[in-house]
Amino acid sequence: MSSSEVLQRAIQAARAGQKAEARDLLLELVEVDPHNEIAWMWLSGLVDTLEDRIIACENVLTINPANEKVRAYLTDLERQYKESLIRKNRDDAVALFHEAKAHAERNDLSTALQLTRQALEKHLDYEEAWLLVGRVSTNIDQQIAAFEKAVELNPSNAETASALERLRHLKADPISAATRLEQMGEFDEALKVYEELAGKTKNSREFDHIYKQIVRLEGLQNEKIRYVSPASSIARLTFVWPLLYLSLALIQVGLNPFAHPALYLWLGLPWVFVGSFLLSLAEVRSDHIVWQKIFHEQGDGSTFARWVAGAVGLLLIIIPHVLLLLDSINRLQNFEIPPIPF
Amino acid sequence: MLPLNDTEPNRYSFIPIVTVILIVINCVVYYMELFVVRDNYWPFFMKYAVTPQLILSAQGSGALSDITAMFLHGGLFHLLGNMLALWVFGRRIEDACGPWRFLAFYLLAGTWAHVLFVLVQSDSRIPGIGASGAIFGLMGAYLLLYPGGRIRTLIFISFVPLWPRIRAIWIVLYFVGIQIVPAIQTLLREADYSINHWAHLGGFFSAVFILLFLRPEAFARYLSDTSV
Repeated sequence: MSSSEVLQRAIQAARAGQKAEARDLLLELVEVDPHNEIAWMWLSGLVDTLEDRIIACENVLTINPANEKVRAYLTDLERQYKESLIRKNRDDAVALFHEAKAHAERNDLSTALQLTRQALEKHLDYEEAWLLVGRVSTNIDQQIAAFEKAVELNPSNAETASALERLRHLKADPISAATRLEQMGEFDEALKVYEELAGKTKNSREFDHIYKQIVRLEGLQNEKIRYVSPASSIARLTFVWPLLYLSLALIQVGLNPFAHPALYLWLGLPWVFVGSFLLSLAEVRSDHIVWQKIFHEQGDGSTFARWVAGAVGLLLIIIPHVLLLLDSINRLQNFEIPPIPF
Repeated sequence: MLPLNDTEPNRYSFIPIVTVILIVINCVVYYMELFVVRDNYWPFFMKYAVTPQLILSAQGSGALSDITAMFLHGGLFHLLGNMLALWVFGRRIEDACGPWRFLAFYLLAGTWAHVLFVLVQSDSRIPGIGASGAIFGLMGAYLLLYPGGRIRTLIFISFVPLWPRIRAIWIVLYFVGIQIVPAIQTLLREADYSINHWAHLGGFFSAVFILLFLRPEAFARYLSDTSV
């Protein structure tokens, strides 16, 4: 049978729906006559996989670069191929991510990190995978880079943004960040930061300080000390100075504010409250709206902000107390000493 | 029974600065009483000690006298006894609170001691002085924070001096216990004591506020039922 006869038979078989027979005939034909453009064109529609169809189209275009129909078909095939490849990669990435997550849950962090990286090679915009890298990586720069990518992919995720902010703070001032982690009850994280610092520091005094903190934190963990939130500590400590002021004011008005009213004394109480609150805020490290609204700072406030808050707080406490004592001194000047009763 | 020293070390700070300063101030004020005030005690005490009648009628120096009375003492043994107790019970309370809050608690305990004294002996014109109300507050706080603490205490058994480490709870209960009967007698007007027992009890009960004054870690330790 001549090449043209084989081609005709293959075309007839293809039209009759006998795809397998038509394909076999065409494959035999292109083996004998590899420059047969028509044979390759028919093959591009009969082979099973996208890759084979692409090869067939490429062969057509090698033989006849002016075949615009096949060129358009090839472009469409290549688009489909890319899409399928992306779909496949995403499916692979999801599978790898879940495997990595399982390893992370078993605390096998190095395998988890390795699998997550493989997942990211297959699917670079995989937000959850970047978050997992941020969590399982032990290198702070890698963690920051991972969270930055996650924030870039999903800027509305406030939790990730806050984690990124915390990591940046941790990098800029590790000792203060460790203290803050401890205040937040994350003893393990704080301990990790101190241990990393202890390994890096070359200053013996700083090493002693860090070592003491490590011993203290380990002690807290061993003694199973309960976590008390900074907000409740601030609330509790806020009552300290108003309680003293209230007691002194009561003594000043003869334990009876109605018999000896002195409005100006009670006006001092809110000042003492605010002062006591600021003083507590300066002492207890925590994220607070005061740092953002007044000092335009993120996190738990800089040393400067805390000093200012503490100083203002102290002033607000001292002034009403001084005024109260000045009132006492004033009363003393008009006081007639009673005679000895015995 | 004379408490000498708390044998347990500090946890948070080395020097109990406010305790030391309070002791120094009390001693300086006593020196002034002896050598500056001399025989002018009555007007001096009327101005700077807590007199129930004056307090209730909002006369005299009010809040100022509440504070100054805590630094006045009626004799050397009064001063020494109080200062020893301030050192024994104050050091670790200051450690648990931090210096500023310790000072606030000390003044608060002294104030509440005076409040109870004024309320119970409202018609009295006898001025009340001494740091003991505030120190009873410290003893109450010590009992709450360090119930298992031990105090080196000087005791005499048949004139033989011994200084065992006694559990703080027994010492505090002893000192509070010996206030109760005289305090009731004072209330029923069956006896008139020169010692201000109601002020001691007032100071002691003010110890319930100590939890507000603790530093965050000490408070967390207290909640965790471990040593503060």
